[in-house]
Amino acid sequence: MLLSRRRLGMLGAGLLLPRQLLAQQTSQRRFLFVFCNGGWDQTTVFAPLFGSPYVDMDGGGEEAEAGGITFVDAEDRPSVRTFFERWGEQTCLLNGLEVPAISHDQCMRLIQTGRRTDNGDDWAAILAGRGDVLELPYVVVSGPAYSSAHSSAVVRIGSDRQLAKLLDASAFDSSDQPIMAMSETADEAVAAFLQERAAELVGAQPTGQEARFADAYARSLDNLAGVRGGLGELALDGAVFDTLASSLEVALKSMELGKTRCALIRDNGLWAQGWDTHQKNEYQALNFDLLFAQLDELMLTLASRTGPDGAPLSETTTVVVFSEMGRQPKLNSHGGKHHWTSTSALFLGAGIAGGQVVGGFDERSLSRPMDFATGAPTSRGVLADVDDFGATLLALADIDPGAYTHGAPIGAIVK
Amino acid sequence: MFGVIGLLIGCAEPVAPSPVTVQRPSSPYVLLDGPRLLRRIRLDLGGRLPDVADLDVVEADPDQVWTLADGYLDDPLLGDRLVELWGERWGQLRDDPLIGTAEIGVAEEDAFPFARSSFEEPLRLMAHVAVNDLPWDEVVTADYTLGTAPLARLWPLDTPADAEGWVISHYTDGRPMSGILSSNGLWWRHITDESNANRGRAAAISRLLLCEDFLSRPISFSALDVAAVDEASAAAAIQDEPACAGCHSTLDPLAANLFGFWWFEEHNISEIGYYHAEREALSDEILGTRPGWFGQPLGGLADLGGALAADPRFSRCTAEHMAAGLWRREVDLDDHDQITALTDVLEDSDRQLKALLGAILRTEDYRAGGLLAGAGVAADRAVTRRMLSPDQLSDALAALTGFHWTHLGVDMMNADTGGGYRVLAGGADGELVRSPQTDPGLTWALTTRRLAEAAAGYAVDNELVAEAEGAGLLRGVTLETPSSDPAFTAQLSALHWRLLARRPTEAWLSSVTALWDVVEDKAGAEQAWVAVLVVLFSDPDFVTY
Repeated sequence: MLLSRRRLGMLGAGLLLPRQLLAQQTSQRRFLFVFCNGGWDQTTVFAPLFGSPYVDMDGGGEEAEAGGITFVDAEDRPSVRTFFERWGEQTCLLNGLEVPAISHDQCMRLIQTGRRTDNGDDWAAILAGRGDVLELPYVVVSGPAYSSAHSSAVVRIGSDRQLAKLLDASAFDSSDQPIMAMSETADEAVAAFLQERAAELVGAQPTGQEARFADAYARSLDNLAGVRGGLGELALDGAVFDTLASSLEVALKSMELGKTRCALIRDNGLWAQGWDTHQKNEYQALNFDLLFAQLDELMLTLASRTGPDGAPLSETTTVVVFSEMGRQPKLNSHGGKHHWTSTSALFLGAGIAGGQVVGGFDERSLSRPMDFATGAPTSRGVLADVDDFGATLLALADIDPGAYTHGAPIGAIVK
Repeated sequence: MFGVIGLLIGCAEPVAPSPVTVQRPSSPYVLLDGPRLLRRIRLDLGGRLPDVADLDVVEADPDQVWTLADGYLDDPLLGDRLVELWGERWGQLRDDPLIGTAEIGVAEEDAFPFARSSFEEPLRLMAHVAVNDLPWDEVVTADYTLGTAPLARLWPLDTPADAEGWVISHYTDGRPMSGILSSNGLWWRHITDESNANRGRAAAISRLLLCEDFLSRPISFSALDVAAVDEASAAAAIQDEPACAGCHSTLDPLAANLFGFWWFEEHNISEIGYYHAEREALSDEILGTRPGWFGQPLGGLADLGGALAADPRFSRCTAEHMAAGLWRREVDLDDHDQITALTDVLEDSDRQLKALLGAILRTEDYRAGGLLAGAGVAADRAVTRRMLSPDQLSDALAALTGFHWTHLGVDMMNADTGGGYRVLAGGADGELVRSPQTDPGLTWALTTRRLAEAAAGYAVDNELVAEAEGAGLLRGVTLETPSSDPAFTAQLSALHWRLLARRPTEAWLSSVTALWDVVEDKAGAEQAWVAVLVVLFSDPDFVTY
């Protein structure tokens, strides 16, 4: 792959290390992705474009600063201010992120994979697939996830807790035909037999896709044995899933046990109405207030729990909060805002150079070119796009982005 | 059209009378042997395993695989498989209803069938055209659709109230008919709103039926030289800015054909279930354009299907979709010649889909079962081992054992609502999971194990405990048959052949016998046979094809 101008620029910053060296240094940092479904309005919190004749700002807001983050403060969303006061020093706000599409499907795929087609892995799947062999590498609690070469890393919880029901066999209670569960003796014998069969498959040293299948088949059986052995630790009977932190409980428990590297959850805003405010843009403020209150709880939860190495999860976990698109700067005739190709993203926690805003918007709420090394908007810089977003995530995990994207890491985000 | 086939490897492989003329200097593939190829074809075309008699025939004479394959093409089971294949590729197999079923009076037990069939409608019409050897054009020109009784209770369809399954039906609201383009189901899947103004639907027509994807083109407001973006300036830019007009000059007239499906209220069945002819003229007001087809004016929806069918991209796109679906990978530039040859097959057959399917089955990319040493990186894209979809796995096990995992009317392996396991088992849901899983993972292993356990238990209980006829999977033994009995070994051999389309090795027979002995000793013969069936239903050669 030829190095682009922006990637060449990163060589000096040491962000593009030889692949072999990087492979030896693969970080075990964990990642939590919070996806705000529908397209958030960057001007409600992230872009204080007051005074611009081209932007309809939310009434009652004003520019404020907390923890090094400049944002839009307003009485009706106090949790935003509270959050930045408490966590701003650990937060990097990326403004002016380009998602070059305007349909939800396409934007979701682009920001998570950098691709326009379905046949690719999302950033989280790559991070999970390239990490240590874990039992639940990438826990998808909810939301869109894309996988191909690393599809074996993806573990879906199910919208109705199907994973737990399969694990404890209570799934058998929901069948129109009677189901006879296997005895423990038979179960153990079957598991041992199949693991031997898998070893035989791998031992045949297949090539091409056969090799990938054999490895994944063997690993899936190993992981199944491991998870079933640890069933009690992941059982969540009676749990109430009403906040981001509680809904992520399976992933958090699994991270504590060292079984998970990535997790994804979808935020559907207040009353699960989503963020797609073609009408009544004031719902953005309500959604942001709820989101930041829940992010605050999530960060407190991460700080209070430890991984297998004894370190707080907050010190080993990067939280990424994003939406698939932004919203037009002007209100439409229904008091809403249509789709927009410039948006923002938040990076929090481990590995993040916090207390800063990188990139920016111009007075029309369009993305400004930026210097990737400093994060400063400059006409001599380049627009940060979805590939750069992905490259930054991969760099945070010490994975050479060049194997997956032509984007360049935004060095200013990485501590 | 009868031409050169690439190098065939091995002595037992069938000689394919392929109609596809693609010359390759040498094949990078080890092709499947006759029985395994037959198994692949049967699973793709019928969703179940081939009969033992068919395996025996092909084992004796590998050339017979093509005779049998042609028979499978005429099996009515083909329709269900095509629905699954297109549904997966088009993201059309959703089971979350567009509209709250309770609020429109759908009984609870009908909620899932209604939701699912509302999205399946266009796929069922496509399957009907294919299975009945009708010209493929009818997919977009038919003056009928396919309906079900639950659908007709809410949609303006003349489907008889006592109809069983899918039957030919007609819309009674006077809508212009252009096959699936006039179906509620397609537009319930691709909804629109005021800002989108049917453009997403137009893009779907182009992407799904012409393989021209407007959405694949980058869009950036930052690249535009506009002072402000509000509704008025955006509308002006769409017509005046070259970067916008490049797409919108063709997309918007295409969208203008669809304003009879324009809804003012999404939670009202009389809005979203019915066609509104009086709204067709809204395209002028909302888009500032009249209906058209890539530069040619059209009279509207009634003309749309004909224009589409006459477009040469339509048949080529059909060939691309079907090849990708059966090769289990996306087509790319390296496939250009093959897709051209397959398109020719479709055209030369008066656009009969079965002719195209038959040709795809005969391609090396379909028959690939492995790579030759030194095959090169390009061959890595070949899918030499395909995972059974949740639906295939469920159907195959149901045919073998009689066990079909349903709960309160929901097909648990083919749904995600109602606690179903389709996505966890590696399937796609058309919304949040757009592509099926290509490799095994934890939830796949867990789901297939549980399904195997349920199906095995059902078969053993039915055939050995209750001594009912069942599906005849364990016909050669009883619970009293000891493992030292030759009948026991014969039963294992028969199972291996029937389920995997391979003769067992002595080593396998020994190890499975040992497994049976261990379990029988501690938990009895019933559990021992369950264990044997579970290891077979979970075997890598069973769960793939």
